[in-house]
Amino acid sequence: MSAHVDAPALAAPAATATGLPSRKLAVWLFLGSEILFFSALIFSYIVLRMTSPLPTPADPNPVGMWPTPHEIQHILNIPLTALNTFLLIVSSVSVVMALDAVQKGNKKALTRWLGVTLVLGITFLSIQGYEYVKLEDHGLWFNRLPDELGPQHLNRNVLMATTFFAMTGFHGMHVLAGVIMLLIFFVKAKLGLYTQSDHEGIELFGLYWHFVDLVWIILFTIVYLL
Amino acid sequence: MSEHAPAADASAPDAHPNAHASTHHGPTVKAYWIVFVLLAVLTLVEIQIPTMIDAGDRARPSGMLVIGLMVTALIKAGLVAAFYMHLKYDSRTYTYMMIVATIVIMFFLWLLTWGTVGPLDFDLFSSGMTSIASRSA
Repeated sequence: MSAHVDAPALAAPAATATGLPSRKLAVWLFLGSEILFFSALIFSYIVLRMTSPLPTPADPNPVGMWPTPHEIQHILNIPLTALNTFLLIVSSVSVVMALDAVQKGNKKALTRWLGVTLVLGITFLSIQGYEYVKLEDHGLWFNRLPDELGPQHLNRNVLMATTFFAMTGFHGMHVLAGVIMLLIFFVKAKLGLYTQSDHEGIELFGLYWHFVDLVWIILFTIVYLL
Repeated sequence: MSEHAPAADASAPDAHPNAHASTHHGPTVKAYWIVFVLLAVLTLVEIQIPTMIDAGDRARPSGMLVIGLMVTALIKAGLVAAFYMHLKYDSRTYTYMMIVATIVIMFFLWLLTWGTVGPLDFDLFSSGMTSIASRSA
């Protein structure tokens, strides 16, 4: 795909020791630390799941076996979560369109696209909150499984619930932080504080928002589909 | 990254001769939307993969399912990183930083799995990835 602007490939070097804008470098360093953070959560989940007992002919339902997809996916509402994934992807488009707008000096479009991103972010959180309520109704919560999978029946591994809420909960908190920041950026954009020559905040926020989307892409696959 | 402020900056593009060249670099709007369509299609495909590969009553995902889903997820993640986060168009330093973070975490994953779980049985088609240490007799 060679669809890039026919301009000098990179911006003029910043007046820093690295030649890179300091704030942008700092954001990327922060995102690197976030990679470590979310990877720790995800890999803990993987290890816990991989070390849980497997069924054998002698014991087809060992204590602490991880719930099978058949047992859990009808509770997790994958179509709704897939829709949520799609909304987050659309919000990535809208935030990059906001950046594109301000890079071209179009303040009205900047405000419009930030508004769209804000609505999508709030919608994502709302759907996630709704899903949590429904899961709780089904009996799935931080420290318990639905009755049919609980200690009285199949006795599946409760860590499935714990890891599920740990991963999706922390991601949700990151989205919430992003929505709060977005609200501030939206108000500042509405006040006309961003210009074609001064919009670094929009770009840096965009990096954070895209990263949150990227993490969800991985989480959705590992938590809901595998 | 602040450049010289132009004299007028309303909705019209900046008239400063260097502003465009120094602040606007990266994909076009068309590229953004192409990537969006790819992401949407890949998401749809991803949802179908478990129904195509696995019956769903397995205790652990099969190797095929893991590979199929992770490849799809990584392609999507790569598209977001390369085009929306502008890694393809920005300084390579940012890419190297992310690669280093990923290598570090992969190393720790290897330590966690090899050290606690033991050698892995990678069964591509049937019962899926298991660890010899966790198998019952």
